[in-house]
Amino acid sequence: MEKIKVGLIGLYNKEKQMKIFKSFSDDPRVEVTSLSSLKEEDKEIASKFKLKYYSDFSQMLQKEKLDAVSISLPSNELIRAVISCINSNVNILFDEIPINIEEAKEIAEIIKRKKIIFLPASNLFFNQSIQYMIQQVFDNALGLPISLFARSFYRSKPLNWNKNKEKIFEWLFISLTPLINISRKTMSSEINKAEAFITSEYTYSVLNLNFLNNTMACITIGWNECPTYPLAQETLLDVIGTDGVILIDTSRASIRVYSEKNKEMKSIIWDIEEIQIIVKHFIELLEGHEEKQLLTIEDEIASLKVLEEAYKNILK
Amino acid sequence: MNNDKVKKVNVGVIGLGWISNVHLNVLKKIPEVELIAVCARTEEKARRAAIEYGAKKYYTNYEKLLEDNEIDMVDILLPTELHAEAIIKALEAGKNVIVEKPIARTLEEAEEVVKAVRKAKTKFMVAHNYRFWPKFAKVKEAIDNGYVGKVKAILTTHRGWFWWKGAWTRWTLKKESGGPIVEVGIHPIDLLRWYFGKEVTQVYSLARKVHFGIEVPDLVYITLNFENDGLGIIEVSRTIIPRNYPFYHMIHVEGSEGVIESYDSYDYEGLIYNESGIKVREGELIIPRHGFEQELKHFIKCILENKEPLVSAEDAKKALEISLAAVHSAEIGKPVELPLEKR
Repeated sequence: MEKIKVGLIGLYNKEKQMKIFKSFSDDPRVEVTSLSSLKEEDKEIASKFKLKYYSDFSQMLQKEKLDAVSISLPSNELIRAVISCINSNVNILFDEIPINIEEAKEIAEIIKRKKIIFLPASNLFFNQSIQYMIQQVFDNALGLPISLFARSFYRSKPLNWNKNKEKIFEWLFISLTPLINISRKTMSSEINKAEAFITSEYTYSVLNLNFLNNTMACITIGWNECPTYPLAQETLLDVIGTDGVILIDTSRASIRVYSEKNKEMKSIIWDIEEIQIIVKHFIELLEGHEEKQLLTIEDEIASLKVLEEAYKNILK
Repeated sequence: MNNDKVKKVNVGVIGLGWISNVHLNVLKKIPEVELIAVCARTEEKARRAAIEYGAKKYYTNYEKLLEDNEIDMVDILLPTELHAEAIIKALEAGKNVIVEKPIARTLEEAEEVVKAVRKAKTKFMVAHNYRFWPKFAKVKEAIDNGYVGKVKAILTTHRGWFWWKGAWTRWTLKKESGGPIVEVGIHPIDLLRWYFGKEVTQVYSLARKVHFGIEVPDLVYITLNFENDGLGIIEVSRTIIPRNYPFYHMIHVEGSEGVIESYDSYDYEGLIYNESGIKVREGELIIPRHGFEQELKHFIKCILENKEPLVSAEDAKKALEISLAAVHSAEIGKPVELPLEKR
């Protein structure tokens, strides 16, 4: 059986892209053949891992006959790369979503037409505890879900903080999108009303979501330089249902389920990294199980629409 | 005032519902307290409580208790809609008054109470016991000591069981009680206002009525906007069904120079650093240490030493105003600006 041929485009988020590379390499069904990067110094990385190096991704797409790529590029270079891959019929694992909703819609339209697999590699969404939580709710472990309370804190400030409002909202939207998608999947419903509040320095925000099925979610997000804090980033989620509660701490390896049905509390520990889950899922999709795709570009568009609506007055 | 060697305050307790057991047990332990009388509408209930807690007398009409010259202070534990009238009568009778929260059912009533307190020469305090809860008090101390710089955002939860299947049906009613936001949400609301040391300018509630027949939201996320910047986010939930779920209060303070986390009530260590998950002791409800004892001792001290209580009538009125704004926001689905029109 022929192996799935994968190429890497860019090392913008180097740590993540290298983890993706390792997860692909560890899978016997996959062969990672090549790396393209504008940076000459990345040639050494290609050489170290026995990958063919290209300074131009178009050349790589032409010569390598790839089945799929993992893209990690800065936002101004993204669209061109995505369109090129789609035109070459190459499936895409995508690091960050395009924050521009029009661009996202354009991509969605083409991938649908060309039947390309496009998987947003959202670490938080694919966190094992989050997926477990969504499954628990789906399996009725908590009765009917009522609400989700998410708290996500970053212990550093993004670049250009307080200088560029657009950049701030780009960070805010990128950080909130997975939380909105987690809420949508957990509640199995779409959002019909969103109300956002933010502090004057844009460092803390709360997003209140109403869903069509009468469930709700409250998402709080914040950035704060706190060198003594034990974690660089943490996300905690509580889901309250009619018959139980589930508490997720994505950073500290803790899942707790309290259920009236089972009359007991379960505590679960996980040990699989998000990237491994993402890559495994992507390979499963490449093998022909497209119907199982957990997160699509349409999900990203739906979340972006919610964000635009919720923050429109603040952005003005 | 009792003139024994130890200066004592002679106390009468009005209302013998569930919370009275907590208050009476605490009052029994305070050396400066002499329990003189208890009062309930049902004679048998009043008589039993007098025997159990060692009160010299019992009454079935609180106005009669207020005529008792032996009593210096009353602890009012009546249902919410009866608070204002009882407070005003007690103050007019020259008693020092502590009353369970909220100060009153409506803002108009609260205003009448504030006026009566201004006229009175005795002490008055609403039992916002969260301020006296040791862990919450420590958080305030840390904020005031500048450990985290300027407070930017505070998140908190008041999450407890669905327990009004029995005697607490009153809390499901809008007119009589205002529901969980006013009855218990007022605790974290008062706490956040105290922590920020600022006034709330806008309130938004994301809310649901979960349990059948309830007239008021029993699961709500309240967003408070504070003057000169600051966000407060409060979950008030009285829908948790699993018996093994702990009575859960979390406080998370984000400041310009640091973070405070307090997961009072149960697996504090686990939530912060434990890598191996948490184990709840089976069949055991872990009741947090509350602030009733500290609160009552504080009020007694204020009477004996002629000091102003930590919670003023105006503070209690503000907490009620924010709570009512949260209820209103839940009803209309929009943010509500403060100050609120009287309702």
